[in-house]
Amino acid sequence: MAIPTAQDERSVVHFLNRGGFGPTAGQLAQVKRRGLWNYVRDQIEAQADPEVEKRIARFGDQGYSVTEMFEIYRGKSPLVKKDQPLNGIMPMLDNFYTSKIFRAAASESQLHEVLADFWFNHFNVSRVSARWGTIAYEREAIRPNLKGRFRDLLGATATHPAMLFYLDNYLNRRNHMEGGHLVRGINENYGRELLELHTVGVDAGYKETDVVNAARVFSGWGLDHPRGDIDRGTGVFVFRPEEHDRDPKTVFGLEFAGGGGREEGEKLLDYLSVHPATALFISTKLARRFLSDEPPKSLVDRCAETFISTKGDLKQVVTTLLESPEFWAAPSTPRFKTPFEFVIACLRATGASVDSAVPGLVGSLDAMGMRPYYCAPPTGYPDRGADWLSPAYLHRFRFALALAEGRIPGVRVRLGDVVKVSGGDASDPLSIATVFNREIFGGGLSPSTLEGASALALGANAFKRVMDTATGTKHPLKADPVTTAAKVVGLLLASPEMQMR
Amino acid sequence: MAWDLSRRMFIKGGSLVALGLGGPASAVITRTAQAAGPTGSRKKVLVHVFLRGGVDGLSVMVPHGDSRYYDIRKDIAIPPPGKPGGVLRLDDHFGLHPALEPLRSLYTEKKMAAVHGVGNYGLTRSHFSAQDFVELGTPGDRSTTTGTLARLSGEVEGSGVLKSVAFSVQRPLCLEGPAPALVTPGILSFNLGIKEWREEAERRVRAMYEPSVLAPVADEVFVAMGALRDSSAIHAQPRAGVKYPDAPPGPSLRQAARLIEADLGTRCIFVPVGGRYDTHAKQLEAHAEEFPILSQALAAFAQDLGPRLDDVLVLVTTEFGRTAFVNGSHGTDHGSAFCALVIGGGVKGGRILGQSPDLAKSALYEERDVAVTTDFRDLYSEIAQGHLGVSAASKLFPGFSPGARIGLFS
Repeated sequence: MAIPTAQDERSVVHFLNRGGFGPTAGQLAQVKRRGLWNYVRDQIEAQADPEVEKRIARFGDQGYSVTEMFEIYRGKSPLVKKDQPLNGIMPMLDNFYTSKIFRAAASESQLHEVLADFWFNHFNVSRVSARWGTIAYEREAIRPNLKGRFRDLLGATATHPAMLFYLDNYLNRRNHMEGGHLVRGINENYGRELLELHTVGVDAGYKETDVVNAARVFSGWGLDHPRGDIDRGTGVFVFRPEEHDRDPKTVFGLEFAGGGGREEGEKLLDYLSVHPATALFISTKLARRFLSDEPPKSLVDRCAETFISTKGDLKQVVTTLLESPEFWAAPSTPRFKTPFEFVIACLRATGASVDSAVPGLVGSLDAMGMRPYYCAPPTGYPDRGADWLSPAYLHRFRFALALAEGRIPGVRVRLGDVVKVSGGDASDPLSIATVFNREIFGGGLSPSTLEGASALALGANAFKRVMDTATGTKHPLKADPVTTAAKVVGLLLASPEMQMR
Repeated sequence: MAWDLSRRMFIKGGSLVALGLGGPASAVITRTAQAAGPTGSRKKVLVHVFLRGGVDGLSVMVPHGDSRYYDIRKDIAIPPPGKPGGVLRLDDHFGLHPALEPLRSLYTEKKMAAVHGVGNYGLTRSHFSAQDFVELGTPGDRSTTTGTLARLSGEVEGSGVLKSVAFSVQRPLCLEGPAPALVTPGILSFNLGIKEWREEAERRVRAMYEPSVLAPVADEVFVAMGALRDSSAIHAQPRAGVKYPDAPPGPSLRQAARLIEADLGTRCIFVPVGGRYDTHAKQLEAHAEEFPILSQALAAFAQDLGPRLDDVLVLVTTEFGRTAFVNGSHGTDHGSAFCALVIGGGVKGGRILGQSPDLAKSALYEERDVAVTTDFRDLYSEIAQGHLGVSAASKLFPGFSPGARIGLFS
């Protein structure tokens, strides 16, 4: 397979933008020292960054099972005062946001965090309905399975209390006759989204009866809540044989003789997890994330082949993707960043320290329409960059300018340090713009962006100043260096180039 | 896929250079954003409130006079009129859900009509496909490159970025197309959020975007920003005594009323709402939570507009209705026909139009859903013609042959 031997800045920045959330100052040189291809291999292999995990553990949101979360919520845990049950859960949820943003922005295992974001979104559950179960869901179902088999990921989501609750599968019971009347128990919600969104995709050609029969297969899957009351019980997954539909059924070509109990669900997940339609659907979504909104069919097909031949080995599929000539040609098909990608890229570019994501960063993401964990429909947030192009774009400008000025609560930026360690002069707009162009954009800023940002705050002599700097003539500046740096960096973060990856 | 011009630039523009990151802008950028000045006269406006999730029509306009309703809905049926928590009786057959009480006076004052049995004959029970087809107006065909509301707006007099407005973050499919549109969750904070160097920042950012392929988007942002900043009506308070709920769609409708009163050339407003309408479980609880907010917001909007409501028509729809039978989780699953509400705009209200849902099992679609008896495009076409004077249904819905008239305006 053709792998890039080139070490050029554009290729490195391309990978940092696609295989991660964007470059930090100094990272370009670091990757070049390691060798670009070695770095790519490192990223494919890397697990969660242990340093970052250690720091997150301090926040105190990690490690609670769903059952423990219920206890905390009900005020029965020693962690909280009995009369104020919500005092325990709310800071935990806030810290959960902070963890997500902290990991994405600070982790050395950038690809790992991109995949965590991708797969959570693919198997979306919303905090609005799955509530605090979402925390355990990401930790227990999503993050351990990013580079394993798709079947493991699928199975972990299917049996997780958060998913069972979110898509109502915990209420799904067989239809039966009672006193001559049909009692309807089937709930189609999970069965439908399993086919449409999680595995084979809406265009795979399944029928309405397949949806209903998939729901029948999962009838009896439930949660340990006596009488369906979520204020009682441990809230963990249980199978209730008496609520399972024991009749024969067929789902999208897979036949069930009936009476298979819980194993029927597992069998259906086995079947769907390696179905060619699933291979194509997942490969298309992955290629869209890493390449472009309309990824080349040749690449999608090769990823699907890898998916099929490896029985859904996700590490192998990602490797096929990142080793492809199409991926390394992808700088020519830039992709518009989602709000989350944009915000994290800005944090990385400015060397920002995140103390708390609430209310500042979460508020900004909310204004851009991408509040983490708040996507109510099971589709997850749109995965096409272009879906985010609208005048609500304004909020990117607002965020860029506010971040650079240090006005986002809970975030510390030290633009002066970033410029200084990169050998620039934080009082000189052109020097700042030059440093950012090299370190963050791989030299890719357009003349109009460079001029727009660097000619700032120089008044009537703007053009002369730019010209003189180019020829080595020095001019002392009177402007407050912090303000100057904030304005220049704010404009660069608001630039068209910063919106693309 | 359907793309608006700015989206299609990514495909047709092809390369990074063509994207304007250092190179010439692509030739496909034709969208120009100009704010239309105050129109001087009061133009008709359409406000489409789109409830995502699939709202149960039988819970909106309840057929309390049909005993089969109580047979099939069992414990999630709304009790008959007069009983505690009972239906708000409108006639012998129908009544409003009790949590929609704020809408009752609109109905009795004949400012609101309901249309039962509306839906898409080319049915899909996927939320996302169904929403797409409603917004594109071409059931089964995703290749449509313009949205229904964009096509309608194109047939209406006027121009500029404020002509079509969506209170949303992502450009909705119904506004796909070459025409500019303001898409934002809020018009009050539609600025850069800085004071000291605002003018300079605006100038600089605009200049950076001018040669870029993103120029049309930036252009829309700045033209809209200027128009909104210069209008005092935008920042005015609602009419005295009008109280909008804080939850959606309250804030959007409160701002829509300001936008209409500001007379900035706005003709079409889209208000998508993502509430707890996908009631697979515990439908009674979900409606008890959502319906009061929805009905308070709609009633507040009508009250806020006052006599201006005659020029403003509010259409409330969803992507599909739900199963006629209660499921095993005190809820309902994805179905077919829904119940649309039409408020203001000269509608002859106080009536329930369309065919009354036939709840006999044999009459249900696939023996499970309330059947569609009015194509959603007929409803839309009739409003386009009766309210906005756009008669070319064929332009709104390519290839569509209109069916029977509903009679909203006669």
